[in-house]
Amino acid sequence: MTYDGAVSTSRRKESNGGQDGFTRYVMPELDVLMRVARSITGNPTDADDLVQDTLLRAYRAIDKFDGRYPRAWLLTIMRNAQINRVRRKRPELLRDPDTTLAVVANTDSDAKTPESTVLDQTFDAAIERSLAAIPEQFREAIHLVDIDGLSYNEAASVLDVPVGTIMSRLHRGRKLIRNDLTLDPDYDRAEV
Amino acid sequence: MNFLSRILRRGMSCEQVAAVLQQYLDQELEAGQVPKVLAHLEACRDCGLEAAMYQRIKDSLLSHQQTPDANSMARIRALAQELATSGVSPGTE
Repeated sequence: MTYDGAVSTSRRKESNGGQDGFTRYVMPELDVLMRVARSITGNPTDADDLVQDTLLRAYRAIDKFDGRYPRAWLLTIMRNAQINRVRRKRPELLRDPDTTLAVVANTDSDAKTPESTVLDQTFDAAIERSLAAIPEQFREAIHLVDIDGLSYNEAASVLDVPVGTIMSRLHRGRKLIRNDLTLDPDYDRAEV
Repeated sequence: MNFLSRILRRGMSCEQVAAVLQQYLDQELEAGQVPKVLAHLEACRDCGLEAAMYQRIKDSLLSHQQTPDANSMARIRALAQELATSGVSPGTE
């Protein structure tokens, strides 16, 4: 998707109320939008396109936005944009769950001993295997809440389901992961 | 301390805590219930260990969060900035 000139071809506006709203409500959410777009699309290129599409849609709608829950509002716009994109293109746009967790961030290594680092890596690897094995609906909810850091309400906006459904999917998905850990031969529960 | 006083001291039962444990860990639980859950987790070893296990799972999952590519973020910020400062009417194209 290209957006060069998307602004310059439009009519100039005398009032800047919409621009103020865009700066106030949209600009602080760019990082979250990028993370969620990456989760939804499964690849960086489509994520970029989806966020650009979301920003243009948000800009067009900003004058009608009441200022309440801007993140949820933006995530709803993103969900609708993604639905349109999938309709226009093909089902393969939906993310491939097997590649979602290919990269594991390495954090706080200075504070860990070599032994604890090995144990953490074993634990993280077990979690990654379990997450990849659970049903897509559960994995999707866990990804949005636990990895992308969305609230229940925000995740519900992305998936267009009731908050109770998000809670149920989280609970069931985490329980599957937790139960899977006790069966994983590479992971010793006593180390938790 | 007898069994009954231990139960009363805990406030919530293990089943009640299990029902709201995920909301507690996600910081989505009603504020008034948080101290009760916390008190139970401190008093009940089994529930405390269960909560610790789920918290560690959440911590591990959070470590999978990827920082968006710097070039992508730069492009997105540039577009957002352009929209925010363009003076173009949002409702028109």
